Amino acid sequence: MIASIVIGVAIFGYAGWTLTSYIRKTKKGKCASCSLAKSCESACSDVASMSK
Amino acid sequence: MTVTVLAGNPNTGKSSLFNTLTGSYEYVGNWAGVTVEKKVGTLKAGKGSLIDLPGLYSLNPLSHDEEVASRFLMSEPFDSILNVVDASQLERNLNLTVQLLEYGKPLLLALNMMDVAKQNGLVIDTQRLSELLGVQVVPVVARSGKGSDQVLEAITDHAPGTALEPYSIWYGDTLEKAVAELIGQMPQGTASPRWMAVQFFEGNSVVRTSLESKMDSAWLQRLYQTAEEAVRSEFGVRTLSQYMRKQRAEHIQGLLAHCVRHTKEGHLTFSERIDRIVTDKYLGIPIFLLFMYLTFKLTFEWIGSPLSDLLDAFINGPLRDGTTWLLDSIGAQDFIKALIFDGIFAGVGGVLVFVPQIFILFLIISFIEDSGYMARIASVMDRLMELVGLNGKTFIPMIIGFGCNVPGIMAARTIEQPKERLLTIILTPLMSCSARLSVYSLFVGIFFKSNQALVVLSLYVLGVVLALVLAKLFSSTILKQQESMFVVELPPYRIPQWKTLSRSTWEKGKGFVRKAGTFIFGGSVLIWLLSYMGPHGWNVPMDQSFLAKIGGLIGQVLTPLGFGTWQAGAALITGFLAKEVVVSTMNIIYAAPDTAALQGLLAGHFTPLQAYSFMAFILLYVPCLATVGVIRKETMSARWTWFSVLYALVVAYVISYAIVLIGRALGYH
Amino acid sequence: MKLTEIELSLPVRIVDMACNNQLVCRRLNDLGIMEGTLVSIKKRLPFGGPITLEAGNQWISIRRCEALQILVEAV
Repeated sequence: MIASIVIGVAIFGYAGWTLTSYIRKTKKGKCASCSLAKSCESACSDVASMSK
Repeated sequence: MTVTVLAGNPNTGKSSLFNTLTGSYEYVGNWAGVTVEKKVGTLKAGKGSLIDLPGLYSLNPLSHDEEVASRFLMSEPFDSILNVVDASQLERNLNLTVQLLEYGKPLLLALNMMDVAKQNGLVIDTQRLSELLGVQVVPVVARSGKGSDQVLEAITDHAPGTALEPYSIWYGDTLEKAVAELIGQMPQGTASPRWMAVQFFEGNSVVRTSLESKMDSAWLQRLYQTAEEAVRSEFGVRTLSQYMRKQRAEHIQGLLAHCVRHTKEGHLTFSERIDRIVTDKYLGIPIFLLFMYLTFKLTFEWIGSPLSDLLDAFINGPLRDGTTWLLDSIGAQDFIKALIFDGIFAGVGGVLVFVPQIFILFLIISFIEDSGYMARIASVMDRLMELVGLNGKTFIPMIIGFGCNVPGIMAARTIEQPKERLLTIILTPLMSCSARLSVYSLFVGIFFKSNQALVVLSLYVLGVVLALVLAKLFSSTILKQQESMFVVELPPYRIPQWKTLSRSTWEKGKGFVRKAGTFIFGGSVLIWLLSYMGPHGWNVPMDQSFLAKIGGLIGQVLTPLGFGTWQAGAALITGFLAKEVVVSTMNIIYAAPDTAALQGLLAGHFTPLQAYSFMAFILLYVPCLATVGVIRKETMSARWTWFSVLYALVVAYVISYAIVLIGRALGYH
Repeated sequence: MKLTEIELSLPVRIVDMACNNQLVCRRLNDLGIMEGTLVSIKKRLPFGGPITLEAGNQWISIRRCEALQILVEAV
């Protein structure tokens, strides 16, 4: 029973975190989840802020 | 901590050098415009940071990626410039170098592609060149990493100190008078005044705006016109910028006469021979289509599918058994078992099995990028694209879009014409990306077993054809063109190195795998939960669940299209988050133990015609969430973002309906 | 004569670049193609498609309508 609760909490916790972080990230429109994700992590150039 | 910035003409190997110097891996390829944003890396041994910029031909920007680079150079703080120069195109490359020298920032020159220059019969005296320009020159071969240690040493240990005196070129008495007049009027404390004046007369819009904010713009305009008139009548040139470009070219030719020798006639026979075939008058487009067809043959029939089957057998064999044993031994509840098997195994496993196919596709895209074929496709396609109000270059983002729409849309930055760029951004989502490939894989494996490659090719072609038709429609209605432009460099062919190919395939594919472990995982758990719960409690029959209720609403609207089930509806809603999730959802809904069983179940729920109509709908209906995000960012307009979502929905509905009608008329059902 | 009229692979010198499209001219200048540059035509694509120029070992593809405005002389 305890094992079940631990596993359940872990899975739902992780799932919730991945969903919110994905939505947050894409909403900003900064980095996508595809091949550019890595360069985004190193430095996402923001065109909007660069062309000020 | 010093900041060095990489600058140079497009396709000179800046990103390759960036990768060697920082030990990271950025996107590289063999065409002009691979890098479209700035990227920051840490130098090996942590001795400072290095910034990679998009390529630019001159400091006066024409396209958006060039603007990113030139704005950075003009307004951001950095310590020195590492100017990468293509040794085989020295004359053209030095045009930018000279402008950078005039700017007066400390500069180090990396002479790349020395091997190519040698092949072309050029002998460059780097010592002499260094003396003439007054900067350090380091020969490198960025592709193999030769010379990169010297560059690293030069930029970290002997960081070029502040230049004492900016480099200066004499632009002729007439213009120099105007330059002096402008400098005289500039407010006190203007940085690099001579450079500002020179760039102003060359027509640099960024410099002009900056000057206009401090000075009388009418006066500036008068000064410019007087100077242009004077130069025009004296030298018979058309514009001031052409005159200055020419002056600089003469200066550069003068320099090169001292340090470059031609030993033999350059030969381009390898490229020429390949070009004779692949850009042949009549065979060009058929060869491209054949190439795409072979791609899908490889992906689906020859290599990809057999590997996928193996992976499927592993996930649903040993892995599932092992997990079952583990869960039994710790005495897990039924709820947890259902969550893991019906949710995670079905959802995540169902997507993961398509990894081999996606990697094969990425390998081929990487090959196109690295070989030099990309720019040729642009040239072969230009005539067709011109007819629909675009240009051949817009085909490059579309091809990248076959891998993933997001970098495809970013690649549209290299398109000079703003309206053509916008049009490319909103049409690139019609390109069938690798995520959609997993949906096709699932369906063609059931309904079109004997000609999988052909059916998938037809969907890709459908996407491209629709993009062309809509381009014509939009460019003649809401996005009327002023003038189209097409100038593209055709780089020499290179045989891609295995190392580069495998790394760039991995870099592209990695995102897919990572997504399966994060977002697809979360999505699968959520979808499973929605299918497990219903208005009447927990563990309800699937068609009483929340998921069925939500899916049913959408399903009703889809009835004319032949797949008006709540299952299809639910798959489509979740597919907006990421298109692979369609596969996860189907796996969860039909609660199939493995892919083979799911295929059996689906065969009962869809007819081949409905399946095709469904695949077409998946291809077109809305860009995924990540793509919508990047459209918003690149267009900087909520209106165009909404537009790209809505037109896609309308087109998807119309096309799927047409497929069903035509199919029925032909006697299918 | 016009650039489009010359034989394949025959080097000629540009004498005049009229620019109806300033963007194209700017880009060609960027690539080092201006009055006085030696160029030759490497390929013509059918149906009025682009032509491929060679100048100083680099290959550039431009549209026929723009090539029409480039006047050249034999060398």
